[in-house]
Amino acid sequence: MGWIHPAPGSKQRFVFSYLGAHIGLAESEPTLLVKECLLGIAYPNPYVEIKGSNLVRPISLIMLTAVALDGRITRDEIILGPMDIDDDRHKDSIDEMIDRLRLLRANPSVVNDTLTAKAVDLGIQVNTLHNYTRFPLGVLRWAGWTRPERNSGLFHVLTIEGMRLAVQLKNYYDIRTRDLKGFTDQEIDSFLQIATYRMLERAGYSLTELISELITLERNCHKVLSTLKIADTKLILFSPFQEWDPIRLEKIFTAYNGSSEPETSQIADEVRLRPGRPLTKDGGHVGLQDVSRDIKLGDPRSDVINRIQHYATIEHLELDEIVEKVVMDYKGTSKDKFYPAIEALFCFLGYNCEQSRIGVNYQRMDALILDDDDSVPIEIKSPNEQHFISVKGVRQALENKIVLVGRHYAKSKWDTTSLVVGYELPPDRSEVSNLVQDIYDTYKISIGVIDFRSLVNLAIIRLLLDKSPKADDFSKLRGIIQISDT
Amino acid sequence: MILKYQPYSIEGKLPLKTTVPTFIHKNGLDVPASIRLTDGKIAFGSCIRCPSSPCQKFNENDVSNNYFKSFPSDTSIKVCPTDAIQIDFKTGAPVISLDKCISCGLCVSRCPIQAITLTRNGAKVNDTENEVFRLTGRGVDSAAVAAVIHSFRSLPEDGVIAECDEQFAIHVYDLVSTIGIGSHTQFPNILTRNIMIALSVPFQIRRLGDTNMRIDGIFKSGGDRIGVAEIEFSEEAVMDSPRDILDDCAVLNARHAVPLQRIDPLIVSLRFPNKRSEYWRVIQDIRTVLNVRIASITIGAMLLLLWSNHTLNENPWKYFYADTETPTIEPALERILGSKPCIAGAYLGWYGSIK
Repeated sequence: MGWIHPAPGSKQRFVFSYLGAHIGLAESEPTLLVKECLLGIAYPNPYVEIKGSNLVRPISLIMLTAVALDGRITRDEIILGPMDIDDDRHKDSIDEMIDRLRLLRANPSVVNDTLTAKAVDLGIQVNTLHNYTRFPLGVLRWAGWTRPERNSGLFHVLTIEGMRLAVQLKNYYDIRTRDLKGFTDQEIDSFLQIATYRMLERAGYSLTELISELITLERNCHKVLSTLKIADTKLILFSPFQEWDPIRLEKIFTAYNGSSEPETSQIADEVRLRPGRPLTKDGGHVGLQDVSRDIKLGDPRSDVINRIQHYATIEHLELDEIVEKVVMDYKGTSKDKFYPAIEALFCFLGYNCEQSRIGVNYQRMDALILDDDDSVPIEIKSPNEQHFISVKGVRQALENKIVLVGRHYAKSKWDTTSLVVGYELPPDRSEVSNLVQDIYDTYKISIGVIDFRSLVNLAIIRLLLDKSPKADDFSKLRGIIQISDT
Repeated sequence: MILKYQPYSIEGKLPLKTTVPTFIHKNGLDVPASIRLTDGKIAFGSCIRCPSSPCQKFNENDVSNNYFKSFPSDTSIKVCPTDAIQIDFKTGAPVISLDKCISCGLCVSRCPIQAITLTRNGAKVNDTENEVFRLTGRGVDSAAVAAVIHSFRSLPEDGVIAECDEQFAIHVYDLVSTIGIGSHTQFPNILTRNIMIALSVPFQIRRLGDTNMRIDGIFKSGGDRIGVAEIEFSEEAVMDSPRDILDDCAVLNARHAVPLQRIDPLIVSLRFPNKRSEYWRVIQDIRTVLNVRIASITIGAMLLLLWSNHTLNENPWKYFYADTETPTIEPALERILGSKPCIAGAYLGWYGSIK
């Protein structure tokens, strides 16, 4: 948009341009000026490195094209029309484009093939072509120039304001960088200033203090104005800060760096968060103890136990390798495969775990470690639902505990853990850990969080070393659970 | 040199000095409010180009947050949640884009002169001269405008901005669901905040993009109480909101030392879930187990209060508690309105379960 540009001698630091300072210091919403800047976008643009052979002022052309197409346009028409024109100032090119789009609108079945052919031609995906329209469609709607058609949503319909602007655009003098070749520096500098001031004027800024300067500037660039047949400089459509060398512009206008304005720091202070409590450390540990109970290996319902057994006893893999193999086997699985695996792993570790019946909403929790006096509700997140455990799972575990206590499905002591089991622990554990701590501080309810890898790890240890978690381990934990052989 | 905005070279408009307004009657949909004068005549409002543009902007006090400073507030002062109202800098009068207007009536409620009317086709500004409101032949006289605003704001009034008939209620919700939700991601929160402010509830919403805070909104709930709000417009997300709001309460309590007993949790939705929905049961479980009472309200119920000129300034949230035994807020609305709320809202799930 030309609002900032690199500071001289630095590519890391940016300063506000003269135009950008008006945006930043706007006394009220700078909507009108932003709209002017949107109309000022033109391609190609060497200064923001937008290359390509299409010579086009996209926002303006989309609106003018929509006018020619009964006041509405589709995303695909934008791709195949305004965004695929050689030069939007050649009347023949425009007419040819409009004819082509009318033909396509009359034969909607060929639009997809035409798009595919275009994508192949450019060596990109059709989706990428769709993505190119996001910005123009977004800003057209933001500016209130188009609205989605109520019923279909397929068409973007020009609003009354959009129609009004499109009519105005036809009267504008649409100037591009290349039009200014061959003029002297003074002529160009004067023209750049006039174009900028007129943009600002259309956006509601007063030129009262510049009246005499404008007369001088117009006199200085008389040759430019007469060559380009510009009768009224108020109608120049050219955004110098997007189309001209910022270093040159900085010499013409004094660049404004904004650093002396106190408002900026005041705003930052107001919205800054009060420092929170120090990050909660992961607290839960599952200890292991020797077991002598028989293990039912190869339960035909239990895919996960069969896999562990296979990798351990047939392929003779090391513990870490088995864990990795099983974890990979379950990557991306949905609840149909993942929930039974969690149930089987808890059962294998010696707990009486039952998965809730699918579709029984009132039970809320996904599984339950049943105990005569003290049951543990389990919230399961399959990797297909959430690859990483998040605060969502913790919130659900809190609700599970409340529902279990409130509806008396099974006995559960207040301080007994409500578990969240997911595929992988979050990369940044602090958010989950902090919420677990907040919940405990507020409601005295303990939430434990464990990942699939840890449960698989425990199962392998159970299989290979005859060690298992202590009977009540999972019911006494809070926070992200870790495994240790103590 | 940074340029200044073009000064409003606009002609002022004021009521004739000889006219003294005594009473405002809001005539409802499609009909401008009547301003009764001392001589018994009736006049209609016409835009007097308020320099502060209350129909378009809140003043900073309206959106200021002096009760929970560490909340990362959205400080937007725009009144219109879809940005449909702009001030024409050449005339000084507001212009409403009917393509963007969702007929919520917020701008109507804020015009002190009753120059905006809510119609079935959106809000409409009256900027024409009439027998009372005359162009002055010179620029806007800010002091005179302020005096007029003050006198109009202190007038007694009755009537409604809009009647809640079925056709209009469905139409507004259609606009909220299409134009509103499609306008920007912050729309549900902005709409909620702005209606709440219009209902005299100091309300803050989280600034867009702030991921350090999960709470959608906070509000001053009366006395030393603080409200916390979850705002969910999708039917699916509403089901999660009871547990989400427990998270909010925990954050307020544990990190910001607000005692749980001083927190009023509130869920704002577009319409209520059906009677057998787990939403109501979970709210009841939370009350039974944690003794936390979660209030519920819909945008429709809030609009109904706005259109009928009511406020929510007496800490009403305990009356907005509803659960599986009484899944409705109709008694609370009846208490404020003084009569049963409209049947249309009941059909649309504004007060309670529709099934």
